[in-house]
Amino acid sequence: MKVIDGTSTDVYFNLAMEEYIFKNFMDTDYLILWKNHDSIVLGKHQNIFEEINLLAVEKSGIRVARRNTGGGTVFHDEQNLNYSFITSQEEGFSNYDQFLTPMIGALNKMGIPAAKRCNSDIAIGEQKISGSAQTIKKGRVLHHGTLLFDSDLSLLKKLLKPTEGKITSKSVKSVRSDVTNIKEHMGDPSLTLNAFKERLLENLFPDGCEKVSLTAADIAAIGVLVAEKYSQWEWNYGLSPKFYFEKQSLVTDKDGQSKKVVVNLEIIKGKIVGCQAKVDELANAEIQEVLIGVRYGYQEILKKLSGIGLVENIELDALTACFL
Amino acid sequence: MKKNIQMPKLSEQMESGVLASWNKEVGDVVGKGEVLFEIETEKVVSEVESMESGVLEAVFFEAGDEIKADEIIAVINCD
Repeated sequence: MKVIDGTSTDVYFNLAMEEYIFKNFMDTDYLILWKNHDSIVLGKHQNIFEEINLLAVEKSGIRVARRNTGGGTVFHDEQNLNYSFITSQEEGFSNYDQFLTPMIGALNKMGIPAAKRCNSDIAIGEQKISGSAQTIKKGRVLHHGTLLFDSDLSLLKKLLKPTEGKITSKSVKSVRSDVTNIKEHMGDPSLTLNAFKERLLENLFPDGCEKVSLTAADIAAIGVLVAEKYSQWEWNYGLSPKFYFEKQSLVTDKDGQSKKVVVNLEIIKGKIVGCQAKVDELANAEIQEVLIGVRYGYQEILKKLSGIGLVENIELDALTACFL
Repeated sequence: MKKNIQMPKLSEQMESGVLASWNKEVGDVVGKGEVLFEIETEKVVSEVESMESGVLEAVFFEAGDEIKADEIIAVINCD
């Protein structure tokens, strides 16, 4: 097995690098270690719009990235270590033990009382320290997982707060777990992520391991993948399964009058394809027409609504919030 | 000639799986070996390639549906 120690903290680059190595490096097995600057990473078949607080995420500028493996939404910061194993597929389907057993063994040797929990998690007691997922293509398996070393998840958790509206979709849902950081269980407050990473490698490969680097050509090819796929709205947002959005809001207009706004949307590939908007039981045709074809998001909806002037005497911000 | 496309049985224990996404739409040309749809089970995403070349004529399930192994999920017109 060869080891690639990732140096970028750009989530788009790292996901592209994973795909590139998965599809092109066939000579042997690989382990990639990598970390991302603050990012929200969702599973391949998730609906991003039911996982995050869209307005908060747009305002924060935090990156949202869709990965190639299954499962739910996770948060990465630079104190979370990601690991990716790439190997040939053994007999059968969905074999997590092949990868979790050596990882748990290495953590145990480091004095961490980690154990397997559920199908694909590693936990200390009832608290999760690692989740993992896989993708399989043409006899090769990519298994990757997180290792929460010393993450601060409080900021990122605020971005998880979902809409108060109701979203109906046949997407893969996230499962929330109680989590803990590995560092708290290691008895050395001065331990850094890098030092943890080196110790992990020593315990995974007691006889040593061969570290390899990406070439300039590899990096250029990965850059193309980032530009064409991983940084694109169509991949991160637009690949979300079809869904319906319903919300009733009570807003106060500019004269202090309370008005009821009822919104029903149908969204396909991230864009509004059907829109019903009623203010005090009366359908508003202008709103309904102007939002068709628009990307579902705070800025996009705000922009379109601002183009039709003051609607029902309601402030633009308040009106836009009725759609999220 | 029309060929039925079935939900694959990816392992002995697998009785059903979730058809996670269609990579082609009705009316699209499909080449043998091209990815036709994806399955997600236990957080594992598996791409399923088409064994046939032709036009995707009909699909009987949506993305997100849980489907029994061997069930017919689509028809490709190979003419």
